[in-house]
Amino acid sequence: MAGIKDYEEIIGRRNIKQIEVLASLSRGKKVVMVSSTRYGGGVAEILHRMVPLLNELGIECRWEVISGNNGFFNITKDMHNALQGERIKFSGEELEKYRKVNEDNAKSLNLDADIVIIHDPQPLPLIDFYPKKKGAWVWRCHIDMSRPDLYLWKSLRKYLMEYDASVFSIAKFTKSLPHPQYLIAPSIDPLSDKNRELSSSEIESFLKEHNITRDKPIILQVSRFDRFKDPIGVIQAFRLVKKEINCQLILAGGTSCDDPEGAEVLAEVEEEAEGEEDIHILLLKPKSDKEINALQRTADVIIQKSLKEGFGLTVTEAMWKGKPVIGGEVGGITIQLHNHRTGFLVNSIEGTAYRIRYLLNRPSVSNKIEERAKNLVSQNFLITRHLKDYLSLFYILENPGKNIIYTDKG
Amino acid sequence: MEKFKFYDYTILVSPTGQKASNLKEFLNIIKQSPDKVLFHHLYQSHIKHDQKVGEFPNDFANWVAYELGDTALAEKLANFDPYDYKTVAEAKELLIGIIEEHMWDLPTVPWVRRGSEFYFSSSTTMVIPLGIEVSTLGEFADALNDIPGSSFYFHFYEARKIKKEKQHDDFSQWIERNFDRKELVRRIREIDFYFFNVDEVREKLKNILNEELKRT
Repeated sequence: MAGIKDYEEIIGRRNIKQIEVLASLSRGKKVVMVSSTRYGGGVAEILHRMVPLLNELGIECRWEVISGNNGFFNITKDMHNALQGERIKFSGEELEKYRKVNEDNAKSLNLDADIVIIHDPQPLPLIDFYPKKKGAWVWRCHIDMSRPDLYLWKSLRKYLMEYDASVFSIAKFTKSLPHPQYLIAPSIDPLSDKNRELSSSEIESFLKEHNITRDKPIILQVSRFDRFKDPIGVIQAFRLVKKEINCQLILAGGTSCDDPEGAEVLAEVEEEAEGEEDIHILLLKPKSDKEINALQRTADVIIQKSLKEGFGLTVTEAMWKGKPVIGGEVGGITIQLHNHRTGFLVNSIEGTAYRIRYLLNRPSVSNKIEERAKNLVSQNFLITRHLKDYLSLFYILENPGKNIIYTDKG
Repeated sequence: MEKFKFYDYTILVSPTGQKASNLKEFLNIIKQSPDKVLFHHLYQSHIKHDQKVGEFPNDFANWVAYELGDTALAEKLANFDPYDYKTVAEAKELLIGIIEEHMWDLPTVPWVRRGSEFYFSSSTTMVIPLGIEVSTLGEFADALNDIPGSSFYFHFYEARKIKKEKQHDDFSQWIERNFDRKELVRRIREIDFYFFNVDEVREKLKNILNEELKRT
């Protein structure tokens, strides 16, 4: 696994030094991250890298995962959907179960730390039940909270009010809250199996294994099978393109143990794609990072046609690999894709089809976009920037109310 | 000889939770906002990652232009240079005057579509040593190639506002104190920095330095 010095070739010695100086301000601090799953999804992926890097830099960082049965994760998946805007009614019994599972977890988890960072809504109520609460508790929200279901938001807000701070990915998701809010965009790890350079033999062997040929342009969407990622819309857009350009579509996705809805959506996608030999649906096993990397490096155009999106790290991954990306004009995708500069934002199936055709017919435009897109990611959405933001946050939490903090360490 | 010590700069943006859906709300929130909110949107736009290249030099002008669609007001807000004022409070007063005067002639209050609201924020700035110190103008010119954009921004832009008594950038002040280079100091201070991005200003400064060093 890569250490902090390994990033020097990507971000330069000065930036590494800056990270080390920031880390020195919080050296020895105890931090615990709490999330709902160890594998699957962007949060787990980030924490797998963030926690070891923080430890290497002298922060004593642990990662705890809450446990719950399928019933609990069904409720939290519905909550996730409702917070992203779906109208879902929760019974008193469901809200009680959500509360109770957190109460049980609070008894078994060790959350003694200077800073406790709770990721997403699943473990949000832990704060209510942790008797030995000390240090600062921060809620880190990764989802698109621009228009949450009002009833659920009111039910969860009471837990959030107890926190010392909250962190959102973009300003649009923030709310009126009685504590400080901060913006920290998520990130990708350029040295992970998912994003590192691959040799052509690694790519070819993967394509062979999955019977994918490069005889026609490849359009790709990599996403969990989730209705908010609109895989059906992608298939419909592909059909519009296919009338004009002979191409193929790959929909690749994995599963996550905190997402019980995935199998249902996958079945809907398979039904929609039935009879179309140029649509490949790949159900990837957990830890298929290298495979996703190979797919992204092979694709001609990458789609992320989300209807709601916390940030859209698959967009970031594709941009980093220098691929032209078309994304739904929602959530964090809007701060990554700037029309004609770093990619294209779309609002409809027709718009998606139009931009796919636009890019496939204009390779020179694609080339210019790719360069700028990679540059944007390099400056803003790599794990090293994320690390810097977390280290700043740790120090800022210790120095509340200051607008400017000078330090002469270094 | 006093050494120039370069610092680097990192900000964590802190949204206030307030948002404006129309020009009237926008004006009212600006009126009620503390200086640190105005400071973030007027001055720190130059360093933020989501700024699209080639657009206006502050967050307010960009929102008015690209979300509210009021190009005339955007132009007025873009042309307004907050560095012309000694304090953020003075800049705020002028800004409010521009918006009020513009609104006076509008038949209706312009709104944005849902999702395009202006979200107000402040920020916390952390200033840390970069580990580069220089003693001569030659070393200084070399260092300009080496420092990150955030460091350049800190010394050339934000330093003017952090200490109220300072009106000039850190670089020209150091040169003024340590070298007999009146012409160089004058040329640096004439750079119309607010209307350019950090990289463009850095290039301008490098060119001026190179010319001056060659000349003497």
